[in-house]
Amino acid sequence: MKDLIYYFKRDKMVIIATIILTLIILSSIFANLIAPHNPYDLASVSLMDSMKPPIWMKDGLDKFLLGSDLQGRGILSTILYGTRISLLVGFSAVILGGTIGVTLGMIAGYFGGKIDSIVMRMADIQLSFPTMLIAITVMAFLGRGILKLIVVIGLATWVTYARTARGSTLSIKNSEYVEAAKLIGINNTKILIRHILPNILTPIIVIATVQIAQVIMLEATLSFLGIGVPLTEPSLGLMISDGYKRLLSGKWWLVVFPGGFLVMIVLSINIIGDWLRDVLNPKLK
Amino acid sequence: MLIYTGKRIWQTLIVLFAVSIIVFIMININGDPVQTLLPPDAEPWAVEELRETLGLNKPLYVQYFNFIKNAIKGDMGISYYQQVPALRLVLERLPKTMELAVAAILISIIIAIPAGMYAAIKPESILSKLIMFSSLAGISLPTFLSGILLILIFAVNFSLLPSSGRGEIAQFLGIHSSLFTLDGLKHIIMPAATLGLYMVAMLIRLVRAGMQEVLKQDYILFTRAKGMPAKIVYIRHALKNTMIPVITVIGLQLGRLIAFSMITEKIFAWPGMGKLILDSINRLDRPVIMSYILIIAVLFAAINLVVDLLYYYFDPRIELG
Repeated sequence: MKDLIYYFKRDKMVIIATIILTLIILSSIFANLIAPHNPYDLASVSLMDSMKPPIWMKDGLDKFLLGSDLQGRGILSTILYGTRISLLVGFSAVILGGTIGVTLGMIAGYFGGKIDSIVMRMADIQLSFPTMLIAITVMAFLGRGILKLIVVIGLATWVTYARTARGSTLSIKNSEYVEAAKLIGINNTKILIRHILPNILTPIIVIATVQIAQVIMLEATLSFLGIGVPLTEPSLGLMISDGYKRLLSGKWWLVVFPGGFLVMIVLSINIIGDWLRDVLNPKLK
Repeated sequence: MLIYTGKRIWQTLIVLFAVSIIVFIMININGDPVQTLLPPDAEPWAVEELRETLGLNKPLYVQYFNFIKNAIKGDMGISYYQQVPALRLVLERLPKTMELAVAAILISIIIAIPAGMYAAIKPESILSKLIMFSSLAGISLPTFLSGILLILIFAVNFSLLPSSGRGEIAQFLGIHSSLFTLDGLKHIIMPAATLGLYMVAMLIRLVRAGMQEVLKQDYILFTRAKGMPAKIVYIRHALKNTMIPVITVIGLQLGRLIAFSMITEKIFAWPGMGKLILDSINRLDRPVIMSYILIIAVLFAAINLVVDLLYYYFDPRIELG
C-alpha cells in the first residue's frame, strides 16, 4: 500500500485522472444538489427554451451554461443526471460480471475435472463472439431497461474474469498453505473464500478497472443504438444519440458536451487502469 | 496434425449447433412477427392464415428441425419485410461490409506502423508521448462518438466530405467497389477511419511493444555495429520481426471490425450487413436476423479455426490438445 502511494505521487497523469474522475463521480452522485435544474421535473422545463446554444454564444440564455436540448432541458443538468446512470450501469455490470466470473473461474480451477471443462467450454463458445455483438443482439430482443442492461452486460463479460480467476487459482491451489488448510479439515468453500480469493484479487482488480471503462462505453453504444436505457432516464449515450439526429442542423452542443464527458470518464479510468497494471504487475513493466 | 484439424472442426460444429439453438430460442421468446406484419385491426382469420403460411402454428421443436433442415440447404426462409430470400439479402450486403473492413484495416496499418515504430525508437521524445497519449485516447473514444465527431467536423463545419451513402461505384478486376472512384473514396474515408480508429490505437501499442523488445536483441546491435544505416536496420530487421504478432492480431480483429461495423454503418448510412440487421431487428424480421447471426457465426468459427491452425503452422512447438 505504501508503494502504491509512492508510485501514485510520482505519476502526474494518474493524479490528474483521479481528480477528474472523483469530481465527476461526486458531481453525478450529488446531481440533485448541484445541477441548475432537474431535467426529469416537467414543471421546470419549458419548450420556449428549446435548442438554445451555450451561454457564450449569441442567443444563449443565462440559465443554460452549456445550452439546451429539444425539450428545453439544460445540457449541463442532463449530463449530470445522465452520468449517474452511465456510472450506475458501469459499476453494477462489472460487479455482476466479476462476481459470476470469479466464482465460476475459482470453482473451475480448484475442482478441475468435469466442472472445469464445462465452464471453460462455455467460455470458449462465448469468446468466439465479440462482447459487443452478443450484447447488441440480446438487448435487441429484450428491449430497453436499466436492469436488463446491467444483467446482459454482466453476463456478456463474465468470461474475462473467469479465465483470469481460473489461471490464478490453478497456480496457487497446490501451494503449501492451501494443502495445510485442507489437512486440518477446513471445507472447500471456506478455503476458496478465505485462502484463495484474497490471493488472486490483484489481477482481478486490474481487469475490473479496465472493464469499467469498457462497460461504460458498451452501455453508451447500446443506448446510442436505441436498445439501452429507456427514454425517460437518458444516459450519456442516449443524449449523444439525440444530438446525432439533429447533427446536420449544426446543433453541435447536443453532441460535443455529453461526448466530451463520456470520453473524460473513460479516459480517466483507462489511465488509472494502465497505471495499476504497471504498478501491481512488475513483470509487465 | 490431421487428427487435430478434425478435432477442431468437430468443436466448431458443436459451437455452431449451440449458437443455432440459442438464437432460435431467443427469437421465439420475443415478439410476434404476425402482429408487426398485419395492421392492428386485422381479422382473426387473416392472422391464422399468415401464421400457417409462415409455419408458425407448428410446435417449436418442429419449427427448429425445419429451420435446420432448410438452413443446410441454404434456405433461411423469405424475409417477412422484403419478400426475397433472407440469406440472399444478407449475402448481398456482405461485400459492402467487407469493403469497409478492408479499408479500415488499410488505414490503421498506414497510420499505426510508422507511429508505433517511432514511439519505440525514440521513446523519450515529445512526439512519442503524444502518440502514446492519443492511442490511449483512441481506445477511450467509442466508435459512434468518433464517427459523429468526424461528421461534425468534415461534413457540417467544412462541408468537405459527404456524411452518408456509398457514392459512385466502379468495377475493377471484376470487383464492384467504391474504392475505385474519387466520389466513392470520398464516401468511404470517414466510415473507414471511424471503424479503424480503435485498431489504430491498439496496433500502435502492439508495434511499439514488439519493436522495443526486438531492438534489445543482439543481432540488432550487431547490424548497427557493422555500420548498417539505422533506417535499414529498423525496417528490414526490426520491423520484420515484429510483424508476426501484428498480423495475427489483425486477423483476429477482423471479427471485431464486422461487429463494430454495425454502428459505423448506422451512423454513415453505409448499406452493409450491419445496417440491414439493425433495420431488421426493428422490424422483427426473423429470417433476416437468423441469416445474419448464422453467417456471422460461421464467419467467426472459420476465422478462429484458421487462426488456430496458422498458429500451429508458424510454431509447431505448440501442444495440440
